[in-house]
Amino acid sequence: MKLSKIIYEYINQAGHTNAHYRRLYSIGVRGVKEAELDVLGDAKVTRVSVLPNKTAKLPDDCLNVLNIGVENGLGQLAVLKKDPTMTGYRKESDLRLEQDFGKVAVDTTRIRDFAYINAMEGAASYKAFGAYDKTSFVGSYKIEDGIVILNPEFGYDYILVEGIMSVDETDVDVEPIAEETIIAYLAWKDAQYMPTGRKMNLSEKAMRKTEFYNQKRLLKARVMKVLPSDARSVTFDSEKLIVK
Amino acid sequence: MTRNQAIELIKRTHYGGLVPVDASHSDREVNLMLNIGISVAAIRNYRESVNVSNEEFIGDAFYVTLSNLAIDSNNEVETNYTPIGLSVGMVISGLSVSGLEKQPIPIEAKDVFLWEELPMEKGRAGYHINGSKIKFLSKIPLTSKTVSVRMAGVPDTNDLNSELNIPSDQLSIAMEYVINLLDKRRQEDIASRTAK
Repeated sequence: MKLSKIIYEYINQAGHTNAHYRRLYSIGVRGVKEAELDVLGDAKVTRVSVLPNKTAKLPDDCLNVLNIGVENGLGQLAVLKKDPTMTGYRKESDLRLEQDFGKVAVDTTRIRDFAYINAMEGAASYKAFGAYDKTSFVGSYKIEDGIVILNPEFGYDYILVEGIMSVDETDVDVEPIAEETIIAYLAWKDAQYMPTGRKMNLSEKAMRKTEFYNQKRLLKARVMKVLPSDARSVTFDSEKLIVK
Repeated sequence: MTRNQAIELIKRTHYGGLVPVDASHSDREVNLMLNIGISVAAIRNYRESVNVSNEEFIGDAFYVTLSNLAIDSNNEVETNYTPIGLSVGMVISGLSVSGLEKQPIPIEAKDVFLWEELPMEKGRAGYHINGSKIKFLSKIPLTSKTVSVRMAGVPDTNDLNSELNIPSDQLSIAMEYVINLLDKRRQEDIASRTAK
């Protein structure tokens, strides 16, 4: 449903005039973003090109990054490892890779000696259990100022960014299940900064806030229902090979 | 009640009977005062509704519907009505522009600068009051489209045969306002004559 319908529902209930529409639309957009971030937001995947200096720019409308990776042969997302130690120094410069990488000696070859590769099929090896295996390493990243900094050896010319994207502010669609939540948000924010006086007192402001969080809780419960199929899926995923 | 009838009542009350042939107040002059009186009654009606029922409201009879007004090349439309001094949402209770899927929304004069700054849905136009004109804010051209508007205001014309746009219970407030003005002037006239 369109955001405009929800706004007219609130104008009707609050006894406002049409002159409140512009202000409420602006507040409503923020409310939908809030609901998208916490409850409704379906992750959208965007393909982003990797620049020659092994960085990539996050999409402008990305509110929250969930995963970054590349496609594997099974139609899955092979996720990159988050590396908080990576530096953002010269991240916007073409000379980023000209930094003195390796000045401090880092030798990881011996780590491979401890890799437990216990499944072989021809030349391919599989890690079924054991210590960290470098063969599953796709790449690593860190996000700074909207820029994805990739490891210098990153071998792909693209990354897939899975994240919560901002709504199109000029054409906002709201899932019908969130109608009451958005109305509660409008009611709260409509009154939040109104001077306390004849029209609004402190307890009413507090009640509106409580009503919004209660509606958000209900929305979460309705959207994120746990079904028997989810439980079966968890059981299925948790069956692993272990050393006995 | 027509304007002529109201003006005659006011003048008879003021002169204490029949209006003398050499009455110094013309009907046109009293009509102008009556317009101010209607505005005063509307504002008083608004305040009373807020104080009594805590609702922003003025009587439906204050509103007139103006149809087929053409939008000019400046995206403005002339109403020939002076709006009462309330917010645009109270002054204009409804406005529709021919051929638009999404009807325009009123913008408070103090918020006009926010029109460009904050998000607004695609294809939605806005309007604000600009004197007796309505000015449209739109990214799509509106020229040559026609407007139908329901607004609370007083006409700039002098058609004394027209019906008054005021609820009957509020008419006494407007008339008392005019009679007080006339009485005040008569007292000043008498005082100036006595001084001679």
